[in-house]
Amino acid sequence: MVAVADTHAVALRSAADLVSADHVLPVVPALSSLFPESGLVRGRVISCCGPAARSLALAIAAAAVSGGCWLAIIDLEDLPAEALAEAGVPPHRVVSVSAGSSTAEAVGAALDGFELIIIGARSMSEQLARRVAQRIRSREAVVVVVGNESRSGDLVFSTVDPIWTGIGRGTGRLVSRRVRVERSGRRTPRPITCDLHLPATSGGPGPIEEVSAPEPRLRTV
Amino acid sequence: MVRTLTLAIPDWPVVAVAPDREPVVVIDRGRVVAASAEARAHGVNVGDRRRMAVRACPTADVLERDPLAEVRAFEPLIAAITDAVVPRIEVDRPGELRFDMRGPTRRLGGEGGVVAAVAEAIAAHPSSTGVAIGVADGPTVSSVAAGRAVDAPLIVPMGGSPSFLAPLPIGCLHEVGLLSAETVDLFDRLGITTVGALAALEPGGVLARFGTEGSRAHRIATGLDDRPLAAVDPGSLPEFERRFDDPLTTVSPAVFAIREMASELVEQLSGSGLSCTSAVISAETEHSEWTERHWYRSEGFSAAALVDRGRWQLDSWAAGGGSITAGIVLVRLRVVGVRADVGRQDGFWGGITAADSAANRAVARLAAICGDESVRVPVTAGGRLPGERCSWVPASTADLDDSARGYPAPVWPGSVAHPTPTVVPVDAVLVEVLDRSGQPVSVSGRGEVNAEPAIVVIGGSRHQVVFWAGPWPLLERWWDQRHRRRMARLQVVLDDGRAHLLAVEQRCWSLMGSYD
Repeated sequence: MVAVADTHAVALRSAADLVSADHVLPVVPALSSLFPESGLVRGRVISCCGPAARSLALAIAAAAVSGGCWLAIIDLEDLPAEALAEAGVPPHRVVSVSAGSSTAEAVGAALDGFELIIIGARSMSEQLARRVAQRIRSREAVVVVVGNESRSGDLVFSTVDPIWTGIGRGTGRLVSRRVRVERSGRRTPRPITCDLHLPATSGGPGPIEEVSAPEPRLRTV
Repeated sequence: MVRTLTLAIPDWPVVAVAPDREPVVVIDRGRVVAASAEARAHGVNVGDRRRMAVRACPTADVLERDPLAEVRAFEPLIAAITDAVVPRIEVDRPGELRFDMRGPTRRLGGEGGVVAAVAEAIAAHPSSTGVAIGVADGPTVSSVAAGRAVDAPLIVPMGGSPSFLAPLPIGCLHEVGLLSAETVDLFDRLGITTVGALAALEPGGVLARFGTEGSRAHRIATGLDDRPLAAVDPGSLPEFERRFDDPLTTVSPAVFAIREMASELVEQLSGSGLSCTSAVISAETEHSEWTERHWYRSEGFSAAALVDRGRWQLDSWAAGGGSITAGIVLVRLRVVGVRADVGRQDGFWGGITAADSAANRAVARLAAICGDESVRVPVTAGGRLPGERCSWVPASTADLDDSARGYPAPVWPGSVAHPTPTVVPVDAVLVEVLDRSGQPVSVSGRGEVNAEPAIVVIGGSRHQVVFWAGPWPLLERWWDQRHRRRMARLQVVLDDGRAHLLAVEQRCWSLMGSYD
């Protein structure tokens, strides 16, 4: 099987975790704390919304596509191809589909061959989501819905309060963006809020500082 | 050693798309691939950058390469030769074909007779004026001969290859794809400037120093066949076939079927240490209309190269004006020639994974559902505006297994620096940029704004400008009246936190991209 998450990304804690390692696709380290399982669990639907939804969706896909998964982008014709490589997604394993009127068939066919799908929210209606939910689980794919303001899905990431750096009033240029990501959704144990650089100065997502649940300090024994 | 006739039309990309225009330059990925006679006279060379070519010959029409048009334009010549001279020919690429002369030589009264018959068969076609014909022992030398046959056909006598090649510069072996440009350069620097000088070397030494590539070139130079005979049991050559219960009305699903068969074929052959040098692709419609063609590639077919040949063949067959009247029901791929695989070093982690094959099948299925044009993959392109450094092309025209595909060109002077917008509208979106007093903002010829932008109106909603940067002026193709563009770009961050890239062109602001 391709794209087996490495043990660091999955953070093995028990034998059950070891069995399920194959069911989790990796994400880049900067994003791993956003996911309860430290990676993308196959068969789940993830929603991204807010002003940085697309960048977040591409960042989520980056590590899995680098690991050998193929990514289908459905009904996002205005996504430029050069944004892929910049977000860390290897472009040679990406296919873009304009489904037109046959969205349901296209999603079905894409689920057969692609482990990751990014789909525009206007094509992924509630009705279609219910129709393909079982299919997504059985094919063990991960579907990321972009721009879904109705906030349904197993995991929902809302991006809020973007702050751009590097730009002034008539000076500089856009360099990086700091954005707050709020996690909610059916499958989330507790809501989490994180700050994230998306994109960071170097291109992909930058490290997260968790706001609501600070890491326990190390103690001397 | 098989006597072979090669027919080549120099600068086919030009002849195919613009036969009656002068001067013309054809560009592929920013480099000249072919130029008409007049453009060459002005100093345009193959391999030049577009800018150099335009500087050398400013009056030239610069056209993008159109591989499909090249194939379609070549089809009548193939048909004429298969009808009149020999039924089975090997098409190396559009603009160059060759065939084994043994059969027709006997029938048409000597090699001179065959050459005359070929010339007569194609005489009716307008693109046949610059045809070069070369006859020699083996495909490679006949290619070289065709490249040297300027006015009249060039026939190298049997066994005369070494003395024909000896005075030629070593670069002629690069022209026929036998040596890479780097190896030619290396030979030049070592003082081996002619093919004769290479032939004089000791074969063991050449193999030790220059590997298989040098060894093959040495064999050609000394008049041997380009590869040692490999004894292959002809009964073991694989054959693939796909039948379609629902007749196919478009070509792309058939091409995808060939893609699947080709990958299977290459995998099967490479398992026994062979690579396919010639194959026959055939297809049949419901009404028993039939196309069959023999394809050849001396260095062996990769799956992608074989798929290309299949697409050329089926596309020109289907587009050939009433030649088919029903859907395609059968596609067949048969291997007729193999050679020992000298090996190609794959990447350390190379090879096709299960995920790759599954994705390939899904792409074929998606193309059947949504249409060939709707399933697209990224390829590298160039430009200064967002979205121009890469472009989306139909998946059936790209090599899906190419792991270098789609990475943007690293530096393109004049483009707005990283990050690139993640939304680039397909259709132009007009916006208004206003200053504090509500007057439109303009950019002067010196590249300065006349007032600080304060309000941006996008799709009817007004937003305050929080930050802005620019303007960055851009002047493109100032020498070309039709395609010249003069614009200035501006980055804005609005009060809702979203950032956009705006452009003004002829006092009209539009949305170039958004940073979503």
